[in-house]
Amino acid sequence: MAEVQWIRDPDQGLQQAQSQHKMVLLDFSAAPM
Amino acid sequence: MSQHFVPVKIHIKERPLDFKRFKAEWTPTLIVAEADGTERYRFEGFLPADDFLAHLQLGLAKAAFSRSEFEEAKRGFEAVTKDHPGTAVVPEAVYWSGVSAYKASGKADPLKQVGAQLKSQYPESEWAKKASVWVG
Repeated sequence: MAEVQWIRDPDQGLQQAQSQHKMVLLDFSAAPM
Repeated sequence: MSQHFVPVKIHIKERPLDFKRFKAEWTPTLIVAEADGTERYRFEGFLPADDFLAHLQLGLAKAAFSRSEFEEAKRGFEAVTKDHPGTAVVPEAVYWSGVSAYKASGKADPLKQVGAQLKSQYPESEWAKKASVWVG
């Protein structure tokens, strides 16, 4: 899989999705970062 | 993936309130949502890459179905079976491709076709059982 640029704030992600006419993928994680 | 989605990662230690907000009760939980926050599909638990991508594609197709875009949904469900043939979601995708075709055309033939396909190719799946009422 290509490297993904994750956004860390869901509201920012939703806003970006709205402006880009995309959907959002929310990944709820507990993995070490 | 970024062709269709804006990807957002929410970590339990950074944003615990967002776990409550979206009712994420386990990790990983993946939610496919519209830009207005409307949830269309979710799945929980780790998956290998091919299965993960199959679920994302299924989620996109289900989102199109929920928007009543049945032709797009049908193409999406068919793409799951074509692009990720070995994954566990294929019988579900076959089932919903038939439903989408029925919704798009108003004709029952696609239901019979996918019912027969599920019966012959995935007889043990619950989707074959669900579709069994469509097969004479």
